[in-house]
Amino acid sequence: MKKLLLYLVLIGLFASCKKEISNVYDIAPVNVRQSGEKGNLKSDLQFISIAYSDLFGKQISTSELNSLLSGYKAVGDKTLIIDLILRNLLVKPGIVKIDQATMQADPEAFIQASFERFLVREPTEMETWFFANLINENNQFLPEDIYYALMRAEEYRHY
Amino acid sequence: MKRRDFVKQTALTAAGIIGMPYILPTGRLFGASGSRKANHVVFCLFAGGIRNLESVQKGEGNLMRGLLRGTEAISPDIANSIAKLPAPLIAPLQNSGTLFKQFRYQSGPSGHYNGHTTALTGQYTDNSLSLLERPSNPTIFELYRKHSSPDKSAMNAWWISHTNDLYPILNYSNYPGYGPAYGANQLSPNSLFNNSGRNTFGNPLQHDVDKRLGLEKMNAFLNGGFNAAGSSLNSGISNSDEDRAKMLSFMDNMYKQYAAGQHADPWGIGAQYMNGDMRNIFYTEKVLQNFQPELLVVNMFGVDTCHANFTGYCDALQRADWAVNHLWNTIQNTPGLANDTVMIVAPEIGRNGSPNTVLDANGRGGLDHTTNDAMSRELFCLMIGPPGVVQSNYEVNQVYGESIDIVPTIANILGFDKELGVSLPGKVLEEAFI
Repeated sequence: MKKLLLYLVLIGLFASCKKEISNVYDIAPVNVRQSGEKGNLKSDLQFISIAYSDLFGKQISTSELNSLLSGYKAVGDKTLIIDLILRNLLVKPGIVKIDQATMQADPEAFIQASFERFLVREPTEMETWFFANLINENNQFLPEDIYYALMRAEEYRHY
Repeated sequence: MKRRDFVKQTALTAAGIIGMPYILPTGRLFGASGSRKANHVVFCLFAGGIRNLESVQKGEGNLMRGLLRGTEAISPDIANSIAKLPAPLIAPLQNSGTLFKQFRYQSGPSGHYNGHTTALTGQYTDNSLSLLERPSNPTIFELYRKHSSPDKSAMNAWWISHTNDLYPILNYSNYPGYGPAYGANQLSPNSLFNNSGRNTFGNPLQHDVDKRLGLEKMNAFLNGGFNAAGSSLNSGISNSDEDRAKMLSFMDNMYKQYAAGQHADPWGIGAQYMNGDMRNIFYTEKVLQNFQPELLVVNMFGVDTCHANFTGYCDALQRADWAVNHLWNTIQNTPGLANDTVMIVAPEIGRNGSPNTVLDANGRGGLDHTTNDAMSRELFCLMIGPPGVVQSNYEVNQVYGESIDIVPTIANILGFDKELGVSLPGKVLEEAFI
């Protein structure tokens, strides 16, 4: 009887021993990316879809994507056709943009917002100075010209 | 003369002769690496699958009066279902060239993509060929651009495909040492110059010179500070900035003409007759007129309707033939190309000897193209060119020539066949040359 009780106590001890699981809910560290850290090339489909979303603030429709892809596949020099796609999108009605006067009144703020919108990062001081300087030098520049410059950059082809 | 002076003068004279550039009649500073028969080649893939029975054997009458001599009447049961096109612009092209009536697609699956790949690489394919991958052997474009001397830019090599599906990727291979750096400028005009294309691509943001300079500065600044961490832009073939500007200007002109209605019936034969093949040839003519490339390959495809419509096949054959006749006329009226171009015309595959069970409106059975059917391998090939280069008015009636012979023949015409870095199984079609 004593032996039986001993077995029961031992079984009870083992059965009750269970590793405690602790769930920790906190914020994982996220590093802000610099331009040089974008190492992945967007696929052409990604590039076209993202360019459209960045300009119009909405997802591209299937029919519009098909029209763009049809022309994209029709030309072998992809740099050429991508440039043509960008320049055609930039004149279409519906682009989310500020007016030229607002850009010229505060080019630094415009540069800041445009870098965040298209390159998903803040501009460096050097970049802010460089772009603001060019905008001040040439009062013919439109906001879409600057968008075009940013979207033509190799950095924009990457994520 | 002292011995020392004599030796010195002789050495200087010899060096001068060796170093002196050769000014050739064509205006070239140096001759190409090999002797050229002509400075331009247009290869017209009369594709989609054509039987010799309906082409050179004229089994349904002469459906190809632009290429072939003869006024044989079209079979009465289909004649009324075939477009009444005006007479071809110029005399039958066989008068100006050599017609191989028993050409062969000797080996490999008799699919369209296999046939195209063979014609453009000079190598037969097998069942391992993937429709989604570039050729595994160098294309004629890459061979031309890599082995011609002096080097040729992409503006000298064009691949005009009838559609933007599958076939565009034939402009370069994935063969090591070749690839996009030597590829052709590919264009699928029917997918670009239409209403949808005009709305999508016909009104780009324009920049004046001042703005362009500013934008270039921005571009250089942004790219200079960007490190892509090892990845590179996958931009296919590339042109110089100057050549890109020319191409953009060309496209802009095409859209302007399209918008003005000038492309609706550009040949004045009636807009209702202009099918996809004819439009592809029309835009090919525009490329030839604008850029005078040394090598251009264009394909057609309308005849493939034959799977389900035999009469439609005969109709498409007639239209394609009319277009090729027009193409040669344009070449002969384009400065820089006239009398200095060899054109090769050949289907990529044939079609079966026996019809399938699909009947058209005239009760004619459709024709497929099956690998084990001998007639699917029987083709024709027409080569036309300057009178002193290509034998005119000449027929080769026995079995002679294969699909794989076209690439070495083009290499021979353009003078780089001795410079090739890869071995080609085909031969030069010497029979056509004088």
